[in-house]
Amino acid sequence: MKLSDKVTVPSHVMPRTVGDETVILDLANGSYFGLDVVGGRIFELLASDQTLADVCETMLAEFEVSREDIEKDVLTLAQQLIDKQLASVEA
Amino acid sequence: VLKPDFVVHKEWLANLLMGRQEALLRIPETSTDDLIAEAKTQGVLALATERLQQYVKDESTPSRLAQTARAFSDAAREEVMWSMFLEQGTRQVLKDLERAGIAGLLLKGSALSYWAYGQPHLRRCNDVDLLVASQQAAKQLASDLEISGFKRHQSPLEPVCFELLCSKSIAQDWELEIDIHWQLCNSALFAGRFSFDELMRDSIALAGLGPNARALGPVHAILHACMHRALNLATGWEDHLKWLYDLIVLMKVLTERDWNELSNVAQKKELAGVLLSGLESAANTFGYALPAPVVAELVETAASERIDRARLHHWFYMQWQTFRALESHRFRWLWQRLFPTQERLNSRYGDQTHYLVQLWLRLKSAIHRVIS
Repeated sequence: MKLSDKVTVPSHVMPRTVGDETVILDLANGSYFGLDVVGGRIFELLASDQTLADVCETMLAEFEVSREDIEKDVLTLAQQLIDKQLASVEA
Repeated sequence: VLKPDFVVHKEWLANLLMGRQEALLRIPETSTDDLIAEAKTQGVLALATERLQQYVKDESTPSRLAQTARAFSDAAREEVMWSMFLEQGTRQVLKDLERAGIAGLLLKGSALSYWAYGQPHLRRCNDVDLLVASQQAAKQLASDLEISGFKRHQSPLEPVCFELLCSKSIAQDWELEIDIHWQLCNSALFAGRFSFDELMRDSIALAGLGPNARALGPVHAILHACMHRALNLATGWEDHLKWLYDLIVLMKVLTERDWNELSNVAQKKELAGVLLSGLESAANTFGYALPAPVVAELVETAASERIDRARLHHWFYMQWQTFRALESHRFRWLWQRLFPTQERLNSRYGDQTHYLVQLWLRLKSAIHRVIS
C-alpha cells in the first residue's frame, strides 16, 4: 500500500454516521465496524475517489496532527479496510 | 400522584424527544435497561439516543446522563444496522419498480425516515411499505421481487385485504419484508378514501433514494398516519411514541395553507374525527399546541361523521363500521372472520397449535372483546 494509491469502497458497504461514530456495514455478510470521528472522516475521504496522499493533506488541514502520524493512520486504516474486504485498491 | 414505571418512562421519553431540559435533568430513578426497553417498545430507541448524544459533549456532562447516553448508544447500534439493510431493500424495490415501469409511493416510516427525520435510522421501521395503483401492478411487482429472491405470502392480517407480502432472509437471520399495497389502508373502513392518482399528484420526491422514489405529501401522510392509528387502536394496540412523533414531525412542516388543506381534505373524506383524535393524542403526549381554528373546524365536522372518534378503540364498534363500509365483500368478510384461514390463525396463535384449538382460542378472544 502506497500513498499514491486510491481505494474503492464496494456498493455492498454502507457507512452511516451515528453521533460521533461512523458505523460501516457490510451488507453482504452483516458484519459491521465502528470508527471514531477521525476514522470516520478518513473513511469518508477514502470513499470519495482521492489518493491516500490527498486524504492525508485534507486531514492535516482539518485536525491538529503531525504528517507522520496521519500518514501512518491513513495507511493502517486503508489496509484494515482491504483486509476486511470493505475496500479494494483501485487498479 | 404515583404513576406506574412505564408511564413515567414514556413521559420521560416524550420530553427527551422534544428536547426539553427537564428530561436531561431528571432521568427516572430506575435501571437504564428499563428505560431502553421502554424506548424499544415505543419504537424510539435510535431517536432517543440521538437526542441524548446531543447533550453529551464534554467531561462536564453529569455522569448519570453520560452513562445513560452510552447505554442507549450501545443498544441502538442494532437499529442502525437494521435501517441500513432496510435502505438497501428499499433501493432494490425501487429499481424493480423502475424496470417494470410501475409508479409507486413509499408509505409510513419507509418514506418519513428519508425526509422527515434527518437520518433514516432515527425512524424505526419493521418493513418497507409501498403503494401502487392496482392489484395487477402489485402482482407484477411481487413477481419481479420473486426473481430477486423474495418469497411471496398471502397477507394473513385481514380477511379482505389490499396488500401482498414478500419477504427475504438477509444477514444476521433477519427477515426483510416488503408490503405492496394497492389501497392506502388495509381495511375496508378506510381503503377507498383516496385514489392513487390524487395521492401521486401531491406526492414528494425522495431524490436521495432514486429517481423514481416518491412519498405521500405531508397532508396525506398525516391523514394516513391517523387512519393507521385508528386501525391499530381498534385491534388493541395503544398509541406508541413512534407513531405519535410522526405526527409531530409532520405538523412541524405544515404551513398555514397546508393546515387549511388538511382540514378541508379531512372534512371532505369524512376523516375529521379520525384526524382530530390522532392530532390531539400527539399534542397531549408531546405538549404540542394545535392551531385552534383548525381544531374548532374539525370538532364541528366530526360530530356529524359516521365514525365516532371517541370509540376508535372499541373493537366491536370498529368491526361493525368495517362491515358497513364493505360493499360487495360483506359475506366473504364475515365468512373469513368466522372461519379464518389456517395461515391467518398460525400467524396469531403459532403453527404448532391444532386448527380446532386455534378456532377455540379465537372464539374466546372474540367473546372477551365483545363483553369488554
